[in-house]
Amino acid sequence: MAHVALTARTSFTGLAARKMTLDSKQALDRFLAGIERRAFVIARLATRNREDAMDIVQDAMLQLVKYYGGRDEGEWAPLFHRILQRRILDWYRRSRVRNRWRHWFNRDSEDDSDPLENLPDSAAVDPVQAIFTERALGALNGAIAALPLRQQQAFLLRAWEGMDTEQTAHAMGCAAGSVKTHYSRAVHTLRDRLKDHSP
Amino acid sequence: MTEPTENKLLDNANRLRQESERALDELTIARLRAARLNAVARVSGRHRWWGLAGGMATASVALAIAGALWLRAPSELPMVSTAEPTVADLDLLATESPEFYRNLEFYRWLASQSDAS
Repeated sequence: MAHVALTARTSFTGLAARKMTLDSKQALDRFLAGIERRAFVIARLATRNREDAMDIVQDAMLQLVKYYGGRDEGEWAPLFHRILQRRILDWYRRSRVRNRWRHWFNRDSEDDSDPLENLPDSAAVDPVQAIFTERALGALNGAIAALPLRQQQAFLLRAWEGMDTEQTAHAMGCAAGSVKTHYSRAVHTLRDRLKDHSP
Repeated sequence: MTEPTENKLLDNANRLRQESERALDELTIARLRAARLNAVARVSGRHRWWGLAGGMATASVALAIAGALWLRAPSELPMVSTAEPTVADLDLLATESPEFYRNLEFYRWLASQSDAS
């Protein structure tokens, strides 16, 4: 009798666990479906490279599910953005180091041209540009892409994700004061660069 | 011409976000969907060995892609520093693919060939 009761309880626990897993999966799927495109656009703006952006978003999704899938649903958005921004920053640092070593090996064979001139023309590679008919939005896209990384992160988290200073600081892994500085500089730079596109 | 106000800037930024998401091509959308499904499938811990095998397969592909990225033209990367490598770089290099270290001599040789030509 006790054995039957134990078996029944175990089955019930198993069913409940399976239902919970199913619920968690559905909730995570909903959350990620709502954020994946925006995350990709953010990563692509930072890296200016489709494949790198895709890798960063994939990694951020996996990390969220692996480490924070069991957390409250309301915590997912700030956690996801923290992971995403961290991955972008890691990518940026690796690119910088890799370029430094590459330049070191090839320094005699390269000319002394301004490295900034070697940046890909975002207006040429970004398909958004081909679709936009409004100059102002195209110019804004280019201006945001040209912002220094930390300013770009602060601006996009506040403008696109609607985060306040504290939430942005958490996502960027820095102090609120730094966020204010980065955001303020970003807005100032963007306003200055977009003068010609404002009536 | 006047500077756009902050509110106008934010309005335009949000329009830009909507348009950017809308303009994504089908392939990108499909890849994002696949990445999401792959991530969500890992919620259940019942297939750990499959997860491990999948992880190893992913790592192999990642190594191959890292090699391809390494050999890609430097102009595709957004940041170029002309400073010499420093000790501070070593912690980042430590996480690089082992291929990088195995091929150091090759890159050195490649650089000397570029110089010679």
